[in-house]
Amino acid sequence: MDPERKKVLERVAVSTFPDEVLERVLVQLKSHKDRSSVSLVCHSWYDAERFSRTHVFIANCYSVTPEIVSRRFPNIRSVSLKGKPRFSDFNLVPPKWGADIRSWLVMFAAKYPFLEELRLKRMTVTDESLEFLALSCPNFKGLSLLSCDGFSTDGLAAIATHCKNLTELDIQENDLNDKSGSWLSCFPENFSSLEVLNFANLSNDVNFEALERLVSRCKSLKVLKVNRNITLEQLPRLLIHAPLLTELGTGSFLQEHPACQYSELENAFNKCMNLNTLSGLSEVTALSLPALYPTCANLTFLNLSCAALQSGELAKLLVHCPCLRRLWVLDTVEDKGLEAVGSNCPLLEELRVFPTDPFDEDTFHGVTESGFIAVSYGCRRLSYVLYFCRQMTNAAVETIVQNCPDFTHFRLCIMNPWQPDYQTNEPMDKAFCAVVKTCTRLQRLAVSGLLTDLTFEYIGKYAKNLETLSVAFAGSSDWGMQCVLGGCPKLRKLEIRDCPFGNAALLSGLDKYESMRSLWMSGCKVTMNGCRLLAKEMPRLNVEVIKVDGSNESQADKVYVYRSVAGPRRDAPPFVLTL
Amino acid sequence: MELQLGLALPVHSPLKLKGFDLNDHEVEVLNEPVASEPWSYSSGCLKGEKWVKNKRSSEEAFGDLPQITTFPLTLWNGQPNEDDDRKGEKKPHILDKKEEEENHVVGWPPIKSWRVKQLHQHHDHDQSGQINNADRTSAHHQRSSTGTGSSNSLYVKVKMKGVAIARKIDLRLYDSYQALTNSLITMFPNGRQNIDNDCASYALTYQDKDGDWLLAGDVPWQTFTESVQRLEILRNVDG
Repeated sequence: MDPERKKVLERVAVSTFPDEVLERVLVQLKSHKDRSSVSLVCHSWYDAERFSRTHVFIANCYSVTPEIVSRRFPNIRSVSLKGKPRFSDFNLVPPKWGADIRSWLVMFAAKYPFLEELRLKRMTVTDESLEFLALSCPNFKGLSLLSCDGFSTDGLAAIATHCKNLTELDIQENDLNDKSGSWLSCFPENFSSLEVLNFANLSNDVNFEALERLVSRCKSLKVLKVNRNITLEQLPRLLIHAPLLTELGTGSFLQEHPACQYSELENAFNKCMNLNTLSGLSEVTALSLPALYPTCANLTFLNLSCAALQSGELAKLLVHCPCLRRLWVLDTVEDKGLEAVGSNCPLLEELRVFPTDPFDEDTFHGVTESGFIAVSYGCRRLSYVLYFCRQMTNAAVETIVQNCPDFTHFRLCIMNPWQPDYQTNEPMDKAFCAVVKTCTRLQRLAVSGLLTDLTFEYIGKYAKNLETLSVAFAGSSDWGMQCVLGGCPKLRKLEIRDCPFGNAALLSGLDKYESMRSLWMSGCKVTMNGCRLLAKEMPRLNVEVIKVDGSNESQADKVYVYRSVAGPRRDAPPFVLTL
Repeated sequence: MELQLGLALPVHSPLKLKGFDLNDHEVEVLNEPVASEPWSYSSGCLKGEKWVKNKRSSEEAFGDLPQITTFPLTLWNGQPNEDDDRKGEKKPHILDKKEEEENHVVGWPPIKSWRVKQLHQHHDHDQSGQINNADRTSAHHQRSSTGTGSSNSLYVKVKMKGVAIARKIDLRLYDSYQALTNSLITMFPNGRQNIDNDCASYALTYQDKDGDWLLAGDVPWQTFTESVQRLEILRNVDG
């Protein structure tokens, strides 16, 4: 036995709770929050917890080093890592900023050779890294890459070639170099362990026959999400081999030849009675949509965000989806479509409405406040909303939260910055005041529209459970941000862009930042001196300024502040200044 | 009458909106648009001036708000004559070469880049022609094609600067720039007081696949039809 462990056990022998029993109990704990709490109880519990932990979730890859992690947790089988700040999704973080998985993989190869799962979000991953991973961890089972960059389909080929026990390959929303679809053909002919395959976002053709064979071999396949190059004619040939599918992402849903294929499609979908999640459906038309109806009875998650449905089409579809809990749509469905949502989906908990013409303010289609109101009347259990629109009123939001007081995630994006209530011409303060006052369980909030400091006063005062706040083009003065930092006891992530908050606001959070995961401020009025002062006062924070070309020397264009036990980054590129 | 909600916003400006000092930013007006460069025009509306107050002036609504540069909704009632010298130009297509996307406030609205790409593809290959043609009442989608393989129609939106009503035309009906411009002349009213009836004083511009505004006529007709997304007729004030 590891001598260190022996010492621990000897120490624990005097306690009333045998270590082995404690560990057996703790192994059941999955939530990392619970595990954190457990580890704080006492030394013996700390040790028991660290030996029994098999999954580690690192929300900011720079908050800790691979060495620290491997020292504390020797038995990890599964790692989740997040890298870049969220605003990198919207091009606010320059390329080559960092969050490279490489140094972590080196540690994994040495300390966790039995690693089974790796889930990365907003990390930079190279093809070499993927190959290194595949070769270093023979037991590797599950790879999930979300919003990552730096790799190409060659890296996927390496994974397919070498990971003999792969059960999950989930490639989502990445900025990858899609060279060809040949990676799929790299799965060996006897390979059959895949349970999850998601390549919906890749754009090159894969060899369909190879895919068909792969699907028929993998008898445990539960999740299949193909890219839009897979046609409606090809889809049934996949579905008949995958009767256990619970999640399906189709390719193109465009019928090339109306008559003959329809029955084949209908039959295929008739067999898919275990589906609870459906996505894809690009280029769907009213002709092909009805083929789905039989399979919709048990659907809980319908992702139509790649399918430009009209209101009538959506209405007809939703009649068949009484069990829906999550719905994502494009705003082509318009308010009328949302009325249909309200009428047909009483169990709905999550709604996301994405814009089809976000950059063209000529559009006077899309959704308005009426659609949102209609949903709120019909879907009283709504707790998660992401809503892109061009007009909103305070009264509408007040009504909405009255109907649905259980919001945990309220993300409203009025797409035109600084836009007031279009009926009263007032700021949208009242709207968000209503949200934070009424929705006591609110965890995540994104505000938009014309907002004064009053909104932030209310947020600070009432949003007791708020963990994530996203602010853009809002506020009148430092006071707004000060209110948020002075209130919101559970705040963990604060991301701000283009607001009139300066050094006074930044420095008012001195006491708070160590209890937060991170702060992002870009396009605000913070200066280098303000950042230096923050860095000086709070040595356990990493205060990083991203310098933008051509900007004023004394302005801190983009500021990223986060707590870390790892000290300053050692891999920062030249445009990232650590203060 | 087409009501258009438009916003005179920096959404289409190269301003990075730092420090809100919009007054600092000059806006270039190119006199001679060259095919390979983005066409930009603006009547200098951003220089040191507040946005034009329209019916819904934010300043009137809350006069004592500190230093908020608000952007009133420009609600047109369709009177063409009102619009001659509008400073709050509804759609100042000021393009910054550095910007990767059409949109010119970086990262706004906050939509992930893969979705943006998909939207562009969607606009290019809008193949749900049957439904779209039936239900579309506006120029929401610039292109629509019936059928699956080759399209038999190629609708693009055409606007004339200063005219509230936009048109949609099928480019497949024309085989040359001359044919197109002849048709356009008949489509748009040119009986307004201040306008030259001489068509040489108009410039036909188009937005291509990359989002750049170019002067029509420089590339072969076929190339043009493959890349044009929308058209705009401008009065060529520099003659």
